[in-house]
Amino acid sequence: MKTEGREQKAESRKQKAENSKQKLTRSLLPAAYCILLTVAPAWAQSRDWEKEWNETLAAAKREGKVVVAGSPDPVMRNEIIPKFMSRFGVPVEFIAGRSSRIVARVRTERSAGIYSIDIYLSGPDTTANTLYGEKLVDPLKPLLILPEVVDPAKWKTGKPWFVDPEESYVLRPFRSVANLLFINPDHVKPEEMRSSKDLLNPKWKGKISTEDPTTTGAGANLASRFLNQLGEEFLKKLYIEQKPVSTRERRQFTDWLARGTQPICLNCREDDVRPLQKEGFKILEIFELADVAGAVNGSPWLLTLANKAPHPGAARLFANWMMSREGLEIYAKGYGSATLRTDVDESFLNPGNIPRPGANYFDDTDWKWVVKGRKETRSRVWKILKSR
Amino acid sequence: MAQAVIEFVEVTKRFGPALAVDRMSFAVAPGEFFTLLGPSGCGKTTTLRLVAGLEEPDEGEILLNGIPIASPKRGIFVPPDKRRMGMVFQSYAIWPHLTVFENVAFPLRVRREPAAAVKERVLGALDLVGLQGLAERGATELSGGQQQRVALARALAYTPAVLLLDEPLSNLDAKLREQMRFELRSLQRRLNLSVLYVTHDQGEAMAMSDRIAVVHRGRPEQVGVAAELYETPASSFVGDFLGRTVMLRGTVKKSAQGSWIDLRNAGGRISLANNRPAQFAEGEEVRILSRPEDIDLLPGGEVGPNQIKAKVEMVAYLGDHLEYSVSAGGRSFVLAAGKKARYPVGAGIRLAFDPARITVLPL
Amino acid sequence: MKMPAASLPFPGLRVRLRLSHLAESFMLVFFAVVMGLPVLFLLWSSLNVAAPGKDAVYSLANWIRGFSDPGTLSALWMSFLLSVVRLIPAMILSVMVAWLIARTDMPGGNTLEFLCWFAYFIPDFPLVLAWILLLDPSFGFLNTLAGVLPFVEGPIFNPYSFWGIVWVHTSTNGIWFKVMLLTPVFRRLGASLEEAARVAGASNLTTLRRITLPVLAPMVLAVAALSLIRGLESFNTELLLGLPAGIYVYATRIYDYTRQEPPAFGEATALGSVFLLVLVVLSYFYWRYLRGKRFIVVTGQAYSTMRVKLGKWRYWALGGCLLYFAVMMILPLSFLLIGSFMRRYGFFNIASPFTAAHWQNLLMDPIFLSSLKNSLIIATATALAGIVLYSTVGYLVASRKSRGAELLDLFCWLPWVVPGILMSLGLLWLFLATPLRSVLYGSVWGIALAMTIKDSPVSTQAFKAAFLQLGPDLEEAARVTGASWGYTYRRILLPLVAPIAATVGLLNFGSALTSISTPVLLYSAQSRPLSILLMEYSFTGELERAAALGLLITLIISAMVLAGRRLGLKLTGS
Repeated sequence: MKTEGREQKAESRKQKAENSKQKLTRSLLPAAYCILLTVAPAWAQSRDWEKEWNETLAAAKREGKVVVAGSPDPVMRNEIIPKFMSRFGVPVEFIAGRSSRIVARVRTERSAGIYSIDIYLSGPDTTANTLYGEKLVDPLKPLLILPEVVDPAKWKTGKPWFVDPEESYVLRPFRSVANLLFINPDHVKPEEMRSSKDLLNPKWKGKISTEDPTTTGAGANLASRFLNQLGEEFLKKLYIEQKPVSTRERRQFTDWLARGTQPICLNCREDDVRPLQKEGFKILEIFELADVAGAVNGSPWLLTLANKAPHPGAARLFANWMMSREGLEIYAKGYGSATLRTDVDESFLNPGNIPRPGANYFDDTDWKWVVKGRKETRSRVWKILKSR
Repeated sequence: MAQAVIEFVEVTKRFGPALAVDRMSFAVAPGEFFTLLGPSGCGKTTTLRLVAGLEEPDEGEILLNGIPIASPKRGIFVPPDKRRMGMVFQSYAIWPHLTVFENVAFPLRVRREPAAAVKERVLGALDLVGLQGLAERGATELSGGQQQRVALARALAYTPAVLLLDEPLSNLDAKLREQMRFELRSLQRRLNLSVLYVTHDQGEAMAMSDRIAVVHRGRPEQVGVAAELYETPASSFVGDFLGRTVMLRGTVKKSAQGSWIDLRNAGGRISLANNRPAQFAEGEEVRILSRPEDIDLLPGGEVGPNQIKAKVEMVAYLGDHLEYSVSAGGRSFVLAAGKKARYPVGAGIRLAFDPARITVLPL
Repeated sequence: MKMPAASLPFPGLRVRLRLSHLAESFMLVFFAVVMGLPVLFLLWSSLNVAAPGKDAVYSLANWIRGFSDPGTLSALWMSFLLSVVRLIPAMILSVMVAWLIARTDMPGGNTLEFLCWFAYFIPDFPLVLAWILLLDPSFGFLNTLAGVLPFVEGPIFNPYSFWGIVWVHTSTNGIWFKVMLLTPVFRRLGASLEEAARVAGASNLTTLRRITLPVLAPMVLAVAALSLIRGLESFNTELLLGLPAGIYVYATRIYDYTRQEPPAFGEATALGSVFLLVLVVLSYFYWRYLRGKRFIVVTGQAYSTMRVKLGKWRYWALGGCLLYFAVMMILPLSFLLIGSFMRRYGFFNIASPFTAAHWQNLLMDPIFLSSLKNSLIIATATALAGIVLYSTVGYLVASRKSRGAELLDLFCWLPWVVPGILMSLGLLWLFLATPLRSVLYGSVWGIALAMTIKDSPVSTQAFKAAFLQLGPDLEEAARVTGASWGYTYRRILLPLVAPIAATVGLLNFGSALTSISTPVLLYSAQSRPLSILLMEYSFTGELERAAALGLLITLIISAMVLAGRRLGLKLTGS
């Protein structure tokens, strides 16, 4: 039995996707499905999606809950869960943990034949390499039915953006300009930080903080970007000669930034800095340098649907609602990230976070970069940094 | 008397509200075997611990060779390690992680004696207690009697000012106990040790001690040599504790012929000639104590002087003698008698007291 | 047993021997399953290098990768150095404090002991941050204070250093745990052994050094070994203080492998196996040291509660203890308490820095109450199960000379030498593989079982040492009295070790409330404990709320400690 299962798993991804598609078409009103994906007369659409929506809602209520796994997340805990509950009467169970732990747990559960998770909200690495890479997810695209979600006009990308090769599994609703670094202007004048060379100014020796670049995470990701765009020399000078202070604890470098002990922070996070700015700390974001292009990313998460989800109706309901204006707006506000929806209020965002139309950005959540390029670059980074 | 080695002056020790030692005074002479005898809980062990410095007195003074070692009113307290005492604990307190040699050597080593001297004296001490050849044994591999000897050797390894013994024989079997009694006493004589000995066993106390203090409720009720305590106990507690007693009640009568005690119930009287008649007033109720072996059994008949009437209740044949359980004056007691005259159960007899060997105590 | 049971003359005897034999066999099977199997699973998986879901391919690649990393060996060396350097002063100090509390007339001993319990359960993460606030070279409170002195130039303290880590460790988990374990043992030592030494001319200190400590060697050594292994495993402090100074420790490397994406549990297991090696070496020395020695200390007559009289020194001793507690505990703790009321932990110079909002947010959090309930169920179950299970194991290990008992002893160390997250993974696998999975998987009972297992080293060692000191002839005693084995155990031995039982129960209770790495893979939304909530708060940077929750957990444990001690004292009848 086991080998059989493995063989099945070994089947090509495409075939699998087709299989599930077939299954879905059989079970989920083929006509409505086709209509939803093609441009159809408005009246027909509305009638059909409503029927299906109501069925989904009824199924979700029957199933009783939806189980979502992701990073510990105050927005999720404090806002999404109560909102979803009050909107649909379906409780959300949130399994929070570092993604590596979630992965470990899911793998072990699955090997024992247990399927406990419905929806993953996870970072690009985990999503691409584990959830998608190990085929723990189902195609999500056919399940999007809410008109405001499937309506191409509502998306800056012209459609809901599935970033996986099949354009069906991994849904990315965010594209937000990431901060390159933060400075404390009491100690570092903005004009002192114009190009990458300014980072190598001997004045900042020991004054730069970074998340430990020798382990997976934001620190290594940024170092990989530097290596990619500026070369090995720069990497060595910045991470070795400038003696940056490294830590794994985001609270620590955020505090250093605020106090000015390390007034240049390479990996501080927008959502950590914002409360400080609210308290009156003068902290400046720097999105790009003269010779370092700005970058966008898909944080805080990518959404995927677990296969063999125990609460398929509720999962569908949650995914649709999450992609709606209401769902995404909560996250946009909570995290200060720009969504890909056209109808989300962006007035409360830092204008720097909103990608300028037509500008050329490095995309840190780009599928190929995540699956291959970054991994390779990262191991080069580690080799360089550990050879000191 | 020479300068006392240990002297207690009105020493009081309380544990919370309870009085463990109550204004205790006594003195131990050099080379004397002094025993504190009493039932458990009477304060005798606390007294010993006060000497050792394991307890601090609340009042009074303890002197070692005339020098105060504990005196709350003068703010003096010499800690136990500075008192030069040797002590054998009831549990022996043999250190389980050390060998016999190391146990005995410990007091010498903490005094930083040179190694050669340590060895000599430890082997000497082990010799003294008869443990030759066991020096390298683990201390806990020994029998109870051997452990007791190790404890003794440890206490003797250096020359203690006083040897303190806390019921050292109580954990031994009867035969070993008898043997150790003798050995301890001869050792003490040989080394001319001053010993303060604590026990609840009056046989042990009488066999070994120069002087005994019978302790009751934290106070020495009577201090003296064994015979004194036995023959003329100062209280019925002392009398009872040191052996069997026969006790009768009576009334003091005085007339021109002399003083006597009227034992109405037993139908007789006992002359008070030698028993400090002045102490007692006419008509006073008193108790008479006598050791059973000082009472003679006579056949029934007219009671003479110092005789009372009694009745045999039970007879036990014990080979070399007979034991009679008799009742007199409403009390029963057991008396031993030779086999020459035999009295059957129910027979009326007379008991003859020796007026010189009775103790009269106020009621 | 030396004699075949059938040849024994009394039929009742056979039954009793069988019962203790049965208990041993049962425990062996039980621990082999719950501790051995997860470890085997981890080792086996570490050899499987195929991608998940693919056919297994076995090779040593993970092991080679783990150990060929140039940082691994230097990190291992640093770990040993740190552990040993902080172990020695901490052991000396904790022995002194335990002795002062249990064996002397120093006033306030019970309060000090309670404070140790309290301190042990304060979560270390916010406490380390408190020390950073105190010691940081540029803004540290103590450095600022010292700067006022005329002869001081520049900062005198720097927490981001080797000695900084040692210092902060001494504060966060230096002596508390050791004092907690040692005090009840010191308390049960027969007083006459010490008194004999005193009368023999030894000072209090000499007595402690040459009599008390050697006699208590089984427990003192066990505590030292436990601390060494815990020290090797710790990485929170090292991450916060070591990384900025470029100090890497071994546990950090293991942690790194487990949090890689995707997680590299194979390499982590490979590195973790070094702890197994350390365990084997330590237990060999432990066994060799204790071989042939007997530790009959607590006998009916020698048992005495007489305290060593320190005279006027007792106030100095108390003063010293209080000073230590004030500096090592009260100081950072007050910063932590203040921190939970600050708008931003440690920032005093912002407008209106104080707020009660974090406490309000905590208590208003919709999942707080259910988490509290889950935590209390888990902790109570863990405490009770721990007492029942480990008193039996400790008894068997201490009294039986069989191979099985030795094996059992070794099994019980496994949960600590296997890093928490790996053990958790192994247990998750185990729970899912058993028919009991509907009961254990994702439920509070599963977490309670995991926590009970996780605490086995300290629980077993505590009971074992207590039983060892009660004397090795327990089996014989049981026969002589004519009581059944179970009866003797329940009515005679258990009350005698009641203080240890209370200690173990409370320890289990406390760590069940605070542990994060063990439940993290095992909880579900219905069984989420408070510690997971705490982890979520600190993960998302809500440090102030985490501090508030940490304090709250500490308060709950303190209340339990107070109640438990009362119960424990009643059981001993003192």
